[in-house]
Parts: sequence; C-alpha cells; structure tokens
Amino acid sequence: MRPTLAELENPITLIHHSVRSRDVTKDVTAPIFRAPNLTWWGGLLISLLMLMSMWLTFAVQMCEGIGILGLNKPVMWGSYITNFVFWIGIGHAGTLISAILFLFRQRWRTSINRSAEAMTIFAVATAGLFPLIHTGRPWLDFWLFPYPNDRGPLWPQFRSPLMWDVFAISTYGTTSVIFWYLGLIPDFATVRDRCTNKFQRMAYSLAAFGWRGTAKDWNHYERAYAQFAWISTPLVLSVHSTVSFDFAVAKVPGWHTTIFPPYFVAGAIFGGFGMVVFLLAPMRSMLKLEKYITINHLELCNKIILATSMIVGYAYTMEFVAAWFSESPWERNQFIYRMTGGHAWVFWTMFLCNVVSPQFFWSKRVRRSLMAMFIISIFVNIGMWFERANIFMLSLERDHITANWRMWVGTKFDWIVVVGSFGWFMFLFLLFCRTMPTVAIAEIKAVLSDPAGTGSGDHGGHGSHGHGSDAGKESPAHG
Amino acid sequence: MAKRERSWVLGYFRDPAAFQAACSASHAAGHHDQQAYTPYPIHGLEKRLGLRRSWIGRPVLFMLLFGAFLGFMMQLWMMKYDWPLIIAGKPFNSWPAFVVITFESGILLGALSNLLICLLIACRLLPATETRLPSPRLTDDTFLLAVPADGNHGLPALDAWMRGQHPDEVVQVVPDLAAAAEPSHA
Repeated sequence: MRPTLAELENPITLIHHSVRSRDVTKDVTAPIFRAPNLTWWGGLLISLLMLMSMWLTFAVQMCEGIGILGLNKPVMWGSYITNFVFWIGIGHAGTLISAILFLFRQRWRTSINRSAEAMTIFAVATAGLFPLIHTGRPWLDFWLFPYPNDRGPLWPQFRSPLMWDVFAISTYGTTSVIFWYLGLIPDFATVRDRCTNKFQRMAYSLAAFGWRGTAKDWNHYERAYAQFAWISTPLVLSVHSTVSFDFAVAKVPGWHTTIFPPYFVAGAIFGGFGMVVFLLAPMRSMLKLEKYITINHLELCNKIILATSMIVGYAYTMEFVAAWFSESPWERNQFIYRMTGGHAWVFWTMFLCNVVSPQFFWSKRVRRSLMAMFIISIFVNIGMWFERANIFMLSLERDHITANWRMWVGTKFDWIVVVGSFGWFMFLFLLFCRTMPTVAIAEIKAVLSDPAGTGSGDHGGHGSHGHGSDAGKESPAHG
Repeated sequence: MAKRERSWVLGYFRDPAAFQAACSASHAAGHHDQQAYTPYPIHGLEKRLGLRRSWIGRPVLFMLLFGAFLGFMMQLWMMKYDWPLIIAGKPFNSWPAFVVITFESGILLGALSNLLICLLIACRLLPATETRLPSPRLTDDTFLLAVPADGNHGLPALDAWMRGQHPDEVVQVVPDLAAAAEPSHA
C-alpha cells in the first residue's frame, strides 16, 4: 500500500522507510528535467523586477553620486552597511548546517544542507554587493586588495577592521562555494547519467568533474568533506566576529562592547535559520520534495530559531546592563535613546520580531504548522534587518558630539535597494532550484533505512523516539 | 575503468548488504585491483576492500599552515619593511592586528588545496565533456564490484566466484569481445 503524503512528511525514521534509492534519484532530479511551473515563473518575474530596480538605483548612484542615499552627518553608515551585515548573517545558517551539524553527526542535515548552502552563497553574493557599491567608485574596488601598484607601491592598511572584513568576506565566499561544489560533484554525476539531451549531458559532465564513484574516490572524497567541515567551522564563527569588529573597535556609544562577536554570530544563526524556513517551506512543495524535507526537519529548524532567539534576547538585555554598569553618560544616553527616542519604533520592531514572535515555537502545533512557521520566519527576517539598523544607525545618531545629533532619514533609493537585494537573492535561488539537485542525493541515500527495498533495513530503528533529532548518532554512515 | 588488455568480471548488486559482503570476500580471496562503484558513500567500504585511509589530511594541513604563514609575512613585510607608516602610534609590527588576515589566509589556502588535492591528485579526476560509467545505474541505486582476471584467478573461476556472491547480474568483459558481452542472469 502506498503511503499517504501525511505519512511521508511525518515519518518516524529520518525519511519514510518506503523511500528507496531510486526514488531519491528520480524525485530530486525531476525538477531539472521538468518544465517549470507557474509558481516558479511568477517568483522569477517578481524577483527580476525587484533586482532590476536595484541595479537601476546603482546606475543612478554612479551618475549622481552616493548623495542620493540618506547619508548625512553624523550617520555616514546607513542602509548599505545594514544590508551588508544582514545578508552576511543570513549566510551563516547554511555553513552551520553543512559544517557544524556534520561534525556533530546530525544526520537530519542531509535533507536541507544543499539548499541551505546555496542560500549561504547567494546571501554572501548579495552582501558582497554593498561594500563594493558603497565605495561610490566601484570600478576601483580592486584597490581593496594588496597588489603591486605604481603608487609606491602603497599597501592597504592592515590594522583596520575594514581591511580584515575584505579578507574575511572573500575567504568566506570562496570557501562556501568550493565546499558546496565538492558536495555537488556526485550529484552532478547522477544528473549527468540521467540526461538525454546532448548539451545538457556535456554541461553536467563538466560540472561532475569526471566523477565515477569508485571506493577509492569516495575514500578521499569523504576525508576531504570532513576536512572542509573542520575548516569551515572556525571560519563561520570568525566571519561575523570580524564583521562585528568594524563596530566594536570604534568608540561610538553602543558599539564599543566586547559582547559584539558572540552577539553577532548568534544573531546571524538566528536570522539564517529564519531564512532557511522561509525558503524551504514553499520550496519543498514547489519541487514536490515533501518526503525529503519533512515537517520533522522544519520543526528542528524552528527549535534552533527558538534557542537562538533567546540568545539574542539575552544579548539585547545584556547591552542595557552593560550600559548602565559602564557609568558612561554617553552609553546610558544611547540606550535610553534607542528605547524612547525618535527611532524607538526600530528598536521595538526588532524586539517584538526577534524576541517575542519566536516564543510561539514553544507550542508543538506552531512548530509543525507550515503556515505559522512561514509567517514567523518573515517576522524573524524583518526583525534581523531592524536589529542591524538599530545598532548602526541609532548609535551614529547619538554620538559623542552633541552638536551633530541628527536622525537618519532614508531616501526612496535606500528602500529600493533594501527590497531589491531580496529580489537578487530570490532570483539566484530560483535559478538554483531549476538547475541543480536541491537535496544532497548521495548523502540522503546513505541515511535511508531500506535503500534497496530488500526488507533488510532497520525500519524505525533509529530515531524512533523523538523526531529524528538525535537519530543516527550511533550510525556509522556519514550525514 | 577497466584497463583494455584485461578481462573483467562485473557483478551488479542492488542490495548494499550483499555488495559489502562480496567486497569483503573479494579482499579475502586475494583479488587484486578490484574496483567497487557505489552511488553513495558506504562507510567502512575502504576497509573491506583493504584500502588505506585517505592520505590527504597532512598535505592540506601543511597548506593551511603555510597559507597562514604567508598571510602574516605579507602583512609584516608591507607594514614594517616596504612602506612603514605610523598609524595611531602603533608599532610597525603590530601583530595582534594581523591575526584575522593571518587566519583567513590559512583558511583560504587550506580550503583551495583541500578541493584540488582531493580531486586532481588523490582521485585523479579531470572535468570532461563525456564520462561513461559501466552502467548509468551506478549513480542511481546499483553497486558494482569489478574484479580483473590475472594469473591466479582465471575468468571462469572468477565468474563462478562472483555468482556465489549473489549479485543481481554478472557480466564478463573480455578485451576483444567487450562489445559482444551479454549479461547473464544469476
């Protein structure tokens, strides 16, 4: 008897025991060979319009100058740096899933790691736009890197945290792309061997790097994959720490605190998981992958959102305690200003979205409801954007020179770019959905309970208690 | 995969348990150069086949540390020797400020060499516009154990041995007759 959809997406094992290896191949590669549906075309059109308006704004900015934005004394860092830090943070969940959960042998990661890593790369690609474009003369951005030049040679200033950022972000982007690519190689080979079109087959052959899948290849491959996890784990924790140094090293009230690195990393993971749920809840039904990205998987993501929400809530509170404890009138004034000043709505939006809205996840029904988690994930994303705005803009509005105090007022161009950055991100993600295996085929086959349908599998053996959260710690297979 | 001048016996398996048992038996029987194809990684398969643990750990660690060394030396040379500037009264070798880029350079070189050493050197793979496996099912749900015939293990004996491992299908690949090889069901 064929299992119903409700049974498939609420399995007792990690993936429903009726799923075979060949089902994985068929289901995951199907969207690549199938004509896209209307949802996909609609999403692509909307995201294309959004991203075109962003590029148009960039074009206007190059003609008119950076003054089209709402930047003015004393708030010289406005929406661009907010977008940058927000998007870099979004990327962190993907690396956490692919690297840290791998080291902890969390086998449930196999269903979501591919799409989460794709999200990381597209988020870094979005974030990377802002430091490049905010220089005002992006055609000279290569000056950021040390290269032999005819100005002396004059070198970049390596003592500046902004320079550390250049290296941290470019290393993070590169490492994420090659980690993702290494994971994709066996799956590209699976797609290659299913292709009927000659040119498609050539393209996937090239992408698969001549992969054969011999025991010798897997032996090296598995080692390299584990090493990537070891390399990426300190990297992901360091990237947002480095981003936070941009602020923590400066003496602006509200920035100059040692809590910033862990606070930023926790916020990044929180926001990133919000984006994972936001993307996967619709994607799984659009691509008909409900039996791989099950409700159990999404529930585990929601638990992480709840946990990290309390960490950021703690950090928000600690900031106030530290300001009160510092005896510095500037610090105290800054935090009173955040709560009660002209931009208090930014602070309260952040607080309600990031600390209050995830509390609904204490209820199991909410954690397992697709609609509820989708709505909360939108709140989380809004909250994280305003968290960055709250830290950067509100601190600059009340700096050490009282005569300078002024509010940041965004122009229409600021807001077009904020919205457009989501379009750019969604556009890349939608293209990914059509051209690459969105679930790690080889990894998920290794965690099936009965891959060949011989009946010899351990039905319900692992993870029968709880929902796969602690499944497979005892299992030999890599997740 | 198969060297042209050799004859091979290919056993296709659908059941991973039977396939793993066959790999162990092949190693125990003293076969050489046998190839095992799997659609997904099977943990411990390399031990069953008598393969050594992958050696790529140390070279990658070396490249990672070398990258960190290069990153630090680059900053030291640029900030202290090539064009020294006094910035905020800090010493020219203000090494704590160099830590982040030192770390990032190490990670970058380590990650790049991890990918390239694994694919190009350890697995000897190169991107190609055409890659043909013995069967396209090998990237789907089928396992293959391919054993070459040699002086100690003749083709008929290997064929009989392979059938004893309960594969779903046995194929003999003989150099001249490779095209004519018919699958025979066990």
